[in-house]
Amino acid sequence: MSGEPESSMSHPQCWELLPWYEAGTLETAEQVAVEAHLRDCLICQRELQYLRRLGPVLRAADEPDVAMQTGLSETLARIDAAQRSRWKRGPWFGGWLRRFASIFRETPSAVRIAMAVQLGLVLVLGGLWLLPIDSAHRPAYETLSAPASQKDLARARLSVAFREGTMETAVRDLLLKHGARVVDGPSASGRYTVELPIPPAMAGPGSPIVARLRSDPRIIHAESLGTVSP
Amino acid sequence: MESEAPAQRDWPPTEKNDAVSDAELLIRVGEHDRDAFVALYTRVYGRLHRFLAKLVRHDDQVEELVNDVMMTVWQKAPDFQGHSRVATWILGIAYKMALKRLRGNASRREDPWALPPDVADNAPPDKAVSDTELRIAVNRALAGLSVEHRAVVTLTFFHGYSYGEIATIVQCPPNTVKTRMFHAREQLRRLLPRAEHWDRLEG
Ligand SMILES: [Zn+2]
Repeated sequence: MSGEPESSMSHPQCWELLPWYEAGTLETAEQVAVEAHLRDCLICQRELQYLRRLGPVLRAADEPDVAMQTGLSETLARIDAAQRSRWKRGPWFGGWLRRFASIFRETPSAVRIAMAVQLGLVLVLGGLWLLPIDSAHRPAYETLSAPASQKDLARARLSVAFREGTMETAVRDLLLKHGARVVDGPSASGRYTVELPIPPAMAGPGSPIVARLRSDPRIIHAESLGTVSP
Repeated sequence: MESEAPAQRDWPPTEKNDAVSDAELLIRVGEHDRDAFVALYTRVYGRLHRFLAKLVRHDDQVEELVNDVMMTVWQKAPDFQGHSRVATWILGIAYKMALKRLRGNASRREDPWALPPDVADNAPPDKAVSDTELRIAVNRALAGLSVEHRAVVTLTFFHGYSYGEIATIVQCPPNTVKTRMFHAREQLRRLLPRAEHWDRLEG
C-alpha cells in the first residue's frame, strides 16, 4: 500500500485510537492511518492484541437483557396526567408548562419528583376549583350542608406527606377522594399543607378527617394544623 | 458520517415497528403520538436499561431512571434537531440524568462508584481464573472506574459507538473521550488479572 501518509499518525495518536480500531468503529481514513502505524510499531501491535482479548472479556460482563417491567404503563400514566392537565387549562397554559418543563429538566431528581407531584396537584386541584365539579366527585359529607358550595364551608388545614414513590396520579386520586387541595409545599421534608372543606359538625381538634387520611397506606404523615373559617 | 453507521448499532428493531425509523417515531412522539411513544419505548428499553445499569449500579434505581429518561424524551421530542441519531440523543439524556442521580446518591453518602474494599486492597490474583471469576473481576474493575470513564468504556465495548458519537452522548470534545479511554485502559489493566490468565474464557 504505497502512497499512504504513514508518518501522519504518531504513536500516541494511534495508541489512543486502538480501542475503536478493535471495535471497528473508526472512520476509514483513521483506520487506514492506524493500520499504517501498526505495521511498524511493535508496542501498538502488542496493545492491539491485548485489546482483542479484553473486548470479549468486557462484553461477557455486560448486563443481561431484562424483560420490560411496569415502567411503560407508569410512564404512560404520567404522560396522560400531563396531557389531561394541558387540555383542561387551555392554550395559555402551554407556555407555562414548557417553562416549567425546562426548569424541571435542570433540577436534581429528588426535587424533581417532589415538583412533579406538586405540579400534578396544582394542575388538577386548580382545575377542580375552576371547572364545574361532577357531583360524583364531591365529598359525601358535603351534602350535609347542602346547598352550600365548598366556599361556604370551614376548611381543615392539615400537613400531609406521601409515601415515597407514590405516583403523581395516585396522589391526585387520593386528594380528589378526600376533597383536598394543596395550599403550600412541599417543604424540605416533603410535607404538603392541604385544606379540606368540612361541615361544621366535623370541625375542631378531634376531627375524623386526620384519622381518615392516616388510614390511607399512601399517606405516611397527616397532622391537623387547625381550621380556616369560610 | 452518522448515516453511514452500521445498522447493528441502532436499537434492535421489533417485529411490528422495524419498518419505521427511529427518527420517524421520535417526530411522531414530538406530536404527542402515544402509540409512537409506546413503540419507541419498547425499542429502546433493553439498551437503555443495560446502559443505565452499568452506570448507576443500583438495581432499584435503574427502572425508575429509564422511566425518567423516557418521560424527558416525551417532553423534549419536539426539540430534537436531527443532528445526531435518535439512539445517541436518548443515551445523551440518559447519561445526563444518571450523573445527576449519582450525584444525588453521593450527597446521601452512598457512593456506588467507591471501590469495594476487597478490590482496593487486593491485587488481582496472579493465577488462572475461571470464566465466573473473570466476569466478577471485570465487573469489579468497572466499578472501580469513575462514572465518566465507565461510560466511555461501556459505550465503546458494549454498545459499539465511535468516539465521535460518544463525545455527542457525554457532551465533551472527542479528545476528552480519547483521554478518558486512555486512563480507563490503564486502570483496567491494573485491576484485572493479567491477560495470560484469561485463556479459559477464550478457549
Ligand atoms: Zn505505536
